Amino acid sequence: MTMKTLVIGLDGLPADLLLGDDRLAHVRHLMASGGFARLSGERPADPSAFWRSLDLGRLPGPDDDGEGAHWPSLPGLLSGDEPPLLVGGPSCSGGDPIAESEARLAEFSRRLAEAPWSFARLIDNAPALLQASGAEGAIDSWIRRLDDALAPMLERLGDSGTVLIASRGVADSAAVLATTGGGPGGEIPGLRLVDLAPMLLALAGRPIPPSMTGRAPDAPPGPSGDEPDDEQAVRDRLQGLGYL
Amino acid sequence: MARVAIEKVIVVGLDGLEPRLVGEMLRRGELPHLARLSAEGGLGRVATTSPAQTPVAWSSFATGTNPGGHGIFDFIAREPRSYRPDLALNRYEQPSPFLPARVVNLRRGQPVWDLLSSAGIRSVILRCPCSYPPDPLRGRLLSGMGVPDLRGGFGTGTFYTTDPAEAARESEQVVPLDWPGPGSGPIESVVIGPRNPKDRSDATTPLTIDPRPDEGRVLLRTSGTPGELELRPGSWSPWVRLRFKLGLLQGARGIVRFLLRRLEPGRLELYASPVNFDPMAPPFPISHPDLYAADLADELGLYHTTGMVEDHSALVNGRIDEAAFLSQCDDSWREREGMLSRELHRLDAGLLYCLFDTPDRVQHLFWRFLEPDHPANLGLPPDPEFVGAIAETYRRADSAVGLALEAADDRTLVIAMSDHGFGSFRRGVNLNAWLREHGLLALRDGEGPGGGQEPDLRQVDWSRTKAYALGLTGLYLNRIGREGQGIVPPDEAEGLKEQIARGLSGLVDPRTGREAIRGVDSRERAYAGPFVEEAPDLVVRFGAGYRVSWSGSLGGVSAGIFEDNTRRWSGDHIVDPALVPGLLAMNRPFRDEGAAMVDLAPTILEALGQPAGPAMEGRSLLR
Repeated sequence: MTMKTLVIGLDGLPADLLLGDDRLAHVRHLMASGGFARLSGERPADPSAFWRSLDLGRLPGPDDDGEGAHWPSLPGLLSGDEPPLLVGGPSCSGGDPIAESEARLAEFSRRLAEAPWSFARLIDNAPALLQASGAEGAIDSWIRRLDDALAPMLERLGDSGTVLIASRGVADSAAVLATTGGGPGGEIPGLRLVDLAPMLLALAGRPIPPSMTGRAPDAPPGPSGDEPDDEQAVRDRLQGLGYL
Repeated sequence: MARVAIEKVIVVGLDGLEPRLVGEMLRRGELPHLARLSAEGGLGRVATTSPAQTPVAWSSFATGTNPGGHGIFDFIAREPRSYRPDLALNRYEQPSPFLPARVVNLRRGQPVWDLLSSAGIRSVILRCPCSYPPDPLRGRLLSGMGVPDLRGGFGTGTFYTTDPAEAARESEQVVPLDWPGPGSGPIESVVIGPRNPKDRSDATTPLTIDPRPDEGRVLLRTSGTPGELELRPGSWSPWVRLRFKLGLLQGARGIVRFLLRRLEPGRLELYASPVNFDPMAPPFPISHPDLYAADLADELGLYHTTGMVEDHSALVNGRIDEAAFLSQCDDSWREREGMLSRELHRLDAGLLYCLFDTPDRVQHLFWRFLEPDHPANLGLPPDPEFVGAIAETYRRADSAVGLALEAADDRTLVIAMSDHGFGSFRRGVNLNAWLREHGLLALRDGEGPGGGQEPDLRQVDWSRTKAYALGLTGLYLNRIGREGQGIVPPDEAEGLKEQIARGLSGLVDPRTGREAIRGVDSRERAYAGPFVEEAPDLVVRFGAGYRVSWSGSLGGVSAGIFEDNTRRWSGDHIVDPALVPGLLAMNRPFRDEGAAMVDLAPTILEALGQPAGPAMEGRSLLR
């Protein structure tokens, strides 16, 4: 079975809003069962360059054509036989950021459901647009709605896959990553933006192209299933009913 | 004359109120509000479900169907492949490794509030059993029976003691305290919270116990809020809010109360209630909308959130006494009265349902005070102080009805009702022992009862077992293709069911000469609907004074069939449903002949101008 990779990019979202909010139940679960990091190292300030660096596993350099077209990138490396499912981007703008974001989410969810895929990526720039328009207060409710919307997307990963949620904030950036194939998780020290692509490739069992300057940590984070209750524990709990 | 249109329906659920006791108290003039209902609309009986159990009966109330239509047949179900018992009300599942666990309500069918929501009518549902996780609805809902404590159980308290010989009893944890005596300083201990789902270890939070025997008090210091509190013997502390850390990031918030049981030089006993979900931050939703539980806490203060509020295990185990138990019941009443009053004040149309569970718990635990010769009184003489505890509970129930009547106008239908009645529980019947005596159940070699620990289904030789009992009234055949090690082929099933039903029906207790089992019904006779296949193959109807034995309910196989019930849990209702109908009273004339739980949902719907749901079996009781 092909391992699926789901990447969700949140452009303009500060790291604290992704990692520090107990109310984001799904993000919190992924953090606890997988791994997370505040990204260290160099990160392009330009949104397009930031997300391109994530895809390429390398920072823009003098030989970068601005599109990164001649370097192998995640969508091509992980999409397998099916075309990559790509929705949104850092430069999408126009009308109401919230309405646009909801439309993107709806389209992404629909496409996840209607056709086979191996690599799917959503980049939502609602936080950046909300900040730019002075509506930072709306980010709080937006991120909670997005957290709710994660559940059906995560279900589409099935029993074998990897999910990466990455945020690009003005001051700091963060990543939350979980996979069915990994080991112990927790906070991943020293993780850089350019390490994300090698990490996703390693988790999918794919080779890491030499063009990528990042590296995959040795022990990738992964959700470990909860221990099933033993029968005695169930019996003990039931006795609290009083009738037994 | 045309009936005035009804715009509001208020249902006051009084769990376990026994019509016979109500009748006696009405004659004595002790229940003025029920008397008023009786005069205005009528007061009668309502047939309960088979079996006569709270989650079963209130699910039939909610859906208007027999248990075959909603899938709740008992507190206990079993996983047929493994024969493992489990709770029948809800289950936790993890739809994906990437998603947190979620709760699934095993009560199916369409509740009346769902139909009302579709019609644009609001409902407020307070603590209806089998409403966890909360049903989405137009209105508000606070979940009831089915909500666990933070350990996932139904009331696991903690007993702290300086007696090193003290061992844990049922549904409790014991924490030993090392206290040389006065002057030795505070004791460092912990509050035990949830199990860590990863490794099943106990999550704890620090607790410092500072005994001051010369001052007659203990000071507690916690890591939560309040950080410090004073305990005096016999009084419950206020709620303490705590956070338990589960790994690097995850935590769970709970609330707990303490009771100082004993404080003497060198001897200290302290009880901590089960850790309830914190309504401000429950680990799983307990209300709809999500924030409703927190709104209630904001307005009324913290409150019990577990499905079974009262610490019955603590009383049964002797960790708290009757006075402390009743004090907790009083708190429970006040919480629920506060919630009902709040919602009555806001009710302008639609349905308001509020369940008061406390009458059920008080009757379970204080019935022995009504019967001096009850086996539970052997070695435990009943204190005359508590003879009136049940009657006092009924008076409190009557007051709750009074709250509803006070808020009602001429466009309000008020319904006061119980889900089942009550009676004595004097003798237990071990159905597995009967099956074993009749060659239908076999234990593995060397596992016979009468030795050390009593065997249960884990010690059964399934290759020689045709039937087994589990739960409070259920018997199952060990069917090929359904059970993990089934041996009963399909063509033998009906004959075997008839054989067992014939053998058990009319079973007489040789000690008393009384009929312990009045009858046994096949599930096809007892139920109809889409979930009948999930029911036990046979449903036992016990006689008055009898019930399934304590160990038998979880599949135990005792040496003898009958046993005295010597526990404080001395009253019960899980007998032939015909013996324990519920109470039904309304402020409008209604048909009480043949009234049944399934009639209530159609009654509510008709009152609010709506047709009965398509799956509903009952009919409106309004005249």
